[in-house]
Amino acid sequence: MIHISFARASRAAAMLLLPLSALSAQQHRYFSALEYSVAIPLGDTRDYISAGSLSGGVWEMRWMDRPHTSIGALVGFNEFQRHGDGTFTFPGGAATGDRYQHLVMVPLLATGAYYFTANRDDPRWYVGGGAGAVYTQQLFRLGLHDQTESDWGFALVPEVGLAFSAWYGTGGILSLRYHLPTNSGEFLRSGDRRFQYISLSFGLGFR
Amino acid sequence: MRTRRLVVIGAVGLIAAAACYSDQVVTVSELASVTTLVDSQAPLRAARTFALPDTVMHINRDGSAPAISNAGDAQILARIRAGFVALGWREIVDVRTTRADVVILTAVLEQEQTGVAYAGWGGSWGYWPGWPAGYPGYAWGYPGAVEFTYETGTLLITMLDLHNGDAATQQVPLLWAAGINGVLTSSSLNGALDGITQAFVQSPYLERP
Repeated sequence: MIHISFARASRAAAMLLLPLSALSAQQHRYFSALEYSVAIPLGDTRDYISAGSLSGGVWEMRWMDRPHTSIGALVGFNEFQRHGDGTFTFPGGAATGDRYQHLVMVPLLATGAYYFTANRDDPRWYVGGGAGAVYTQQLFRLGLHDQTESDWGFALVPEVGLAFSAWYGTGGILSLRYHLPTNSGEFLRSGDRRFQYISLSFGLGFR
Repeated sequence: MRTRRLVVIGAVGLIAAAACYSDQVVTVSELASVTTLVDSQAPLRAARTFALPDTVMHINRDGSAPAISNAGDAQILARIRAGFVALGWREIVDVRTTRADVVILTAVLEQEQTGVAYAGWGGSWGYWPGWPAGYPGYAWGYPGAVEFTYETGTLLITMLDLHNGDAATQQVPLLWAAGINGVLTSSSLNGALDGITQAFVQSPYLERP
């Protein structure tokens, strides 16, 4: 199995995406940004992995031809993980050993936003949200034993944020998003889980 | 066109990044685990006596020579017996005259087992004088919804109900099972023995007054 470091992958993605974003921005009122994202688990996500996530990223594009609104697309990921040992119980049994839990959520969303001011050169607060597909992968490892579960669902992602301009046609996004997906399938227990979380993303891009 | 290319490249880049996480196993101790399953219904709560056949079955269906020898079988069985006795169970030695509530069967798996039931157990075990009529042809089943996998090198301890076999479905209820996973090799027995002790520690419901 090939393992690539997150930092290296992020740098490669940035090198690929930012120049292409600039080309696109020459002809249209686009804003394209790469964002670093941290997340706080909620609900079932917190029950499964209580620790916050420092590993996440978003690439989004916004068509900003209207003064107060934009539509766009977003793809990103947030991953949660936990290492542990000792004994834990589950319905119908118990297990002892080193364990590793991992959850990654990959939303692919159509987005929209409303900006409270019209001047694109000023910092602009906005409210918006996205809707679309979300890919969920859960992994549980106990000793030698791996189990994974992957599925696709639907997610609603309301957000609030700040869009701002920077220098030479660049800009940034600060966004707080609440991820509300549909239930994921049964995994290691009876009953579905709904993996909710809040993400905070900050990114720079071209506009 | 450029927009489409941006979308594709962006998605590929982010999904590739999402696939990268530090999940490598770094120490040997991370490979070992002890899992216990229980059906805590009335038959288990009522059980007080056990029979422990003096055989550890080495399950290796491909016909090759067992990689894990029988040299440690006696120690394994002694540790299991000591665990039950310490929890207040009484062993039935003469199974021809007295039927125990449960039978404890022990196996070393040299092939992966997956499922919630094991159909070949009775037939593989063969004759044992403590079986009720028909039992050797039955399969054992676990009533919970949890599907489990036991890997090669696992020591599997099962507790089968000797009073409540279902003649219609030909299933023997599995009341308790312990899988000591990843510790049994051709050269080491200590991990398995420690795992047996741990299996009892994490099964407090087996304690009898």
